[in-house]
Amino acid sequence: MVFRNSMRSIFRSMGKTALFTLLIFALTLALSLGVSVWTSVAQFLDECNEYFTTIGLIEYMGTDYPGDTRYDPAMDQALETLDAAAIASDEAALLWQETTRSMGYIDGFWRTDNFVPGRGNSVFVVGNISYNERHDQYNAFVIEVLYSLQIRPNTIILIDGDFGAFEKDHYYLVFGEVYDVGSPLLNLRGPAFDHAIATSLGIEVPRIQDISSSETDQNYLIPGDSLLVKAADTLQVTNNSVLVSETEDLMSGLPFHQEELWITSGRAFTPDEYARGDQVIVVSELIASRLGIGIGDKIALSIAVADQPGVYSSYWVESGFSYQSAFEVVGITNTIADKSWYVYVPKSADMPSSPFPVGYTVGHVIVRNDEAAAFNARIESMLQDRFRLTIYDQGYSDVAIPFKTILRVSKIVTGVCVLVELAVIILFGFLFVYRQRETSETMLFLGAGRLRVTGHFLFGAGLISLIASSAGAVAGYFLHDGIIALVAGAAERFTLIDSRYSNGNLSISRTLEFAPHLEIELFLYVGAAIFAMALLACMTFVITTFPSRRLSQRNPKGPKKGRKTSLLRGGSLKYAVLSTFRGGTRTLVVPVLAMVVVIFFGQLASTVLRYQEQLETIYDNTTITGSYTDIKGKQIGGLVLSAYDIANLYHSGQVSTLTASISKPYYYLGTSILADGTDLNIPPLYVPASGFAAESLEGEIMRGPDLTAINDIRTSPEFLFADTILMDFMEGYDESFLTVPSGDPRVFSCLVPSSLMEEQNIHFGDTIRAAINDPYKSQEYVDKIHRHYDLKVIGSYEKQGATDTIYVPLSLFFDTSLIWGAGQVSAGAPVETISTGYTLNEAHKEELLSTTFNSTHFTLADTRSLSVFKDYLSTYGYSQVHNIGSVRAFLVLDDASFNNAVASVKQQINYINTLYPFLYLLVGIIAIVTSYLLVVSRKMELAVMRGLGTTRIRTFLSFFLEQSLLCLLGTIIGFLVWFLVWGPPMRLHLALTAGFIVCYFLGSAVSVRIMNHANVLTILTDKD
Amino acid sequence: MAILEMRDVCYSYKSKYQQIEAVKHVNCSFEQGKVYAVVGKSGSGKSTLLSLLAGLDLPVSGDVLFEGISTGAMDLSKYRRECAPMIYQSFRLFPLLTVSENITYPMELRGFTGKKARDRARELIGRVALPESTLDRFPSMLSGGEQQRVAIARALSMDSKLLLADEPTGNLDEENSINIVDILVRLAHANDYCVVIATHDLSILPKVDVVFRMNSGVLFQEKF
Repeated sequence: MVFRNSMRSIFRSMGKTALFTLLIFALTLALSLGVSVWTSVAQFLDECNEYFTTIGLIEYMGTDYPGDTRYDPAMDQALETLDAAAIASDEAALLWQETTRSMGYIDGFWRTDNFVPGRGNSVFVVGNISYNERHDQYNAFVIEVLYSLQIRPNTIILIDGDFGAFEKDHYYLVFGEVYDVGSPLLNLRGPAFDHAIATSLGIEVPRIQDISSSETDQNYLIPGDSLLVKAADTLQVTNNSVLVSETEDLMSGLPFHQEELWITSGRAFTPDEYARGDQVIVVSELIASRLGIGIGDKIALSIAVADQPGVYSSYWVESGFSYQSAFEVVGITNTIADKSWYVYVPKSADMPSSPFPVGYTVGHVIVRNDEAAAFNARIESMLQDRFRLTIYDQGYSDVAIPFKTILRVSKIVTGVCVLVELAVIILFGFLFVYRQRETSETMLFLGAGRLRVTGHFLFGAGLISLIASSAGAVAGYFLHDGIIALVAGAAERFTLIDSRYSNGNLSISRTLEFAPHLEIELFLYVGAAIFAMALLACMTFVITTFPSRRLSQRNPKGPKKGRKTSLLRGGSLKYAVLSTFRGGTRTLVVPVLAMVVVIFFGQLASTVLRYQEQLETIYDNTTITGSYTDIKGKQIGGLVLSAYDIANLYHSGQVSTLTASISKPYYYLGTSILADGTDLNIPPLYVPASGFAAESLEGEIMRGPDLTAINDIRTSPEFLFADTILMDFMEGYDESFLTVPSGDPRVFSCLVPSSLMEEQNIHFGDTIRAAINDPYKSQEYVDKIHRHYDLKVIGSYEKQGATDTIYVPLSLFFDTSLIWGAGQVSAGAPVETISTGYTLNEAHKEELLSTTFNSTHFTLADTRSLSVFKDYLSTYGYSQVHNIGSVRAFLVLDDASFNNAVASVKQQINYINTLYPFLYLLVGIIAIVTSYLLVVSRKMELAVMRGLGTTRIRTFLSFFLEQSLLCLLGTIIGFLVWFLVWGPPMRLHLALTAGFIVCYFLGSAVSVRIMNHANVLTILTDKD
Repeated sequence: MAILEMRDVCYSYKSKYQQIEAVKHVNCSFEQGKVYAVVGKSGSGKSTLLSLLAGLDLPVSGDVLFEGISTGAMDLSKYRRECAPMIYQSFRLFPLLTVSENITYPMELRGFTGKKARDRARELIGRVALPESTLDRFPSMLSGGEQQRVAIARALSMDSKLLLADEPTGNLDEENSINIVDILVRLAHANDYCVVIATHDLSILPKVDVVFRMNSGVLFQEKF
């Protein structure tokens, strides 16, 4: 009976039942989709965290960067300023790994790669020596080779004449550097055997040692204690050494992280092996094949550590190794040329490592994926001059950031759904139970008992909510895939960072597809939760109907205090005004709502403005620079860049400054003219008559320091990463001399290292002569000479590395008018250069195509058009690190910090753009609903008015004016408060408030109209 | 001559669950100077009949004639405003208006405002035996009986000779009921009003001149 009656109640209120069934269905659907998107995205972000590893690589940008095995004393010194502990303890850091490397040796492994140090260094026995006077060289027969990569026994070698004095029919043990000049025979020149340990021990290895002996059949005897034998033994080890890299997480190391290296067989180290510091090793395929070993085999690894800097100075045969042990091969990697001799072992306290830095990588830190940008900002700010932090995130930010935005939005939307769902459920319980309390009272009166009453209500309401929530959940399950497709599409729109060509995108990009699969259970749980909440709400309302209600006189509504009758003249306005001022709490609802809305909209508008201003500030205060680099995005000098490409770049309209350099090795000839004008008449560099000597001279020039023509020394590879350059100029000069255009007499000026000035006794104003490898027939000297430049020394600088680079204006080597026009070759927008008369005609094109620069650096004209610029680069075909284009020139823009800053602001703007329309809509709905409820609550008053014969227009105006007055009053007060606290309102603020007012007015007007057309008879004849 | 007349009036409306024929072919007439009572069970159609007389709606068929003119031919608002004042069981006063403002409201609808209207309110409040001090009070500050008197005063302010009362004593105690009925009877007999009272309070029947009984929408005259 209870259930039958309950069903009857439902069917007899079909409209209400249908409405709430639909509402609960729709909200369950929305909520289940919200929860499913939330869950899917959260799961995907967890997957991303598992799948991607972000590391921060800290490097020292030394002059020989990125030499991986170099020792740079400047770096060694600078490391004292690096607070590695602060990096390791950063909240985003998971594991800090300082680069720990040392020289190792595995007996049986040999190297032939191009990275062997002193590749030409050889120790061998020669005999049958004859002197060739014409070529000033010895012809010698190689009898026995103690160590050499190139020399074979029983061959002839040509030894430079200045090597030493060889006696005929004697046998010698010689040390020298073998080189190839393209002739059938190899040559030997005689640099001193340079080894730090030997030097520190006071050992001077001779270049030759006479080992002739009549006591042997061979007519020579190699003494066992010969220093040259020791040198050969040392070379045998150092030149076949391996680089032992200790690690606490092999796969986070840059080559593995960037998938240059990967395990081809076996495995990486296990956590236990790391923890115990086990003697296990990962080697390259090359090492494995040359040693003939495989997984599970053991190899004897020796490590040499010395008190001398430089990885190859760690071993001297007499000092021996510091450590020797057997290591089990657990993994084999692929072989890449520059790391074929690397081996990896777990970090162990027992294992010695070089106390001197090896290479320019200070270390790397594994960073929490989602905190990489913040980590970058924190650590970069504390890094000193020349230290650089580069984040490699394997493409995490590109994949995850859009989904983070979606996750946040889905959380908010789900939260709103929950609130609306709760409101609807409470309303549902109120209407289906509490409004039927008379039924409850009657049933109780008739002795039905509370259980039956509860059953009566819960059965009906429960049935509605069960059907609606189940249907909503099932519909959610079937619509989920479609929503996920929409989310995936939205993720592309939410991509905040254009990471093309960015120094924040030097990492490889791994891909992870967003394809979640959720079981139906999740949706059913949501449906069940809503069903349970609906039952709970109904149950609560059922209980409220139970307490016995004492009969009491209902207090009529209205003011309780006396008041003077208004003297206002009659009319709609009078009624509106009186109702407004006498409405009590009800009157307060609208103005308070309007005030809150005004302040809320003010906050929204100011938030929008604040983020836009932040964005503008970032755009205005950021300078984005870029450089051409090598394929890895590391090296910025020593490149081969087409001047034609550079000219196009400069005239793309996207860059404001452009600096370029051309470096040519020089041969210093001396001071040609003293500052006082005295011509010292030094000879040019003649090209030797003999081909061999000419080639030797060319080789010598090419090994010399650079004469670098550049238009801004600060962007030179030597100084780009330096904060300061110590320079000194003679009076009347400064570094702007580098920017003089072609044809300017100051072209023949130079900036030289102060150390060179000291060494060569050069003074400001002196003119020095430097020759480059460019032989030509000189009419002046009536002979073939190498082209030389007489350069006036107008300044000096403190050099950063070992080489004596001389800086000269770019116009010395390049007709700058081809790119910059006739003006100075300094800063200035391309527009200005165009106005100087620059036009790229075919003749220029040919000339530009035949010219190459060695480095190029530029500044973006407008940060706002960064993406446009990247579009230009992409269209032009420029290559990116890990993404090779049609033009084999790689560009890296220093925009990572800018991108991160812009992304964080844009993310907020994205939230705003996504959520605020919902908030605007919500406020609009609140305005309409509030006005409707307030008008409906006055239904009886309106009916009485109508009953008294008030016209519809008058009743309309009475109530509409009242609502309008209240709304406007609140709005005015709201704006007043806003003005006093926050200042003048913004246009958006005014527009949004106007929208609210329109909604409120509209809601009021429609509500009054509805009430006006209600049946007055029915309302007035209602006895209660 | 009848001030108000019903000719074959039928009225039906659709409730939440069904179509209700509230008034069926009713014919009757009401004259000034008399008190009419329409009695009947709840749901018999008394209030609907009174509402049709008050011009709250038009009959589905038939005519309600006021002074010989069909309400269907009139502006119903104007009719309600000027001809057919009605008082209700629940008084139906404006809670946010003072007694004075409640009484002057119908006058203002007809263009009487200001002092003239207030003086008239003062006069009317006296006619329903309430002190002048009541004028500045709000309905919520008055007892049920006082509120009903204010409702009568408001009805009188329309200066019509017709007064319709739907269960005027329904929410009142016995003493207040007697007082209200006495006022209404006095208005009819002393001031030549035509008073039509819909009620199920049979105790007032001895005081009325004509009794109609309403049964399932059909009207019968019982007392002449």
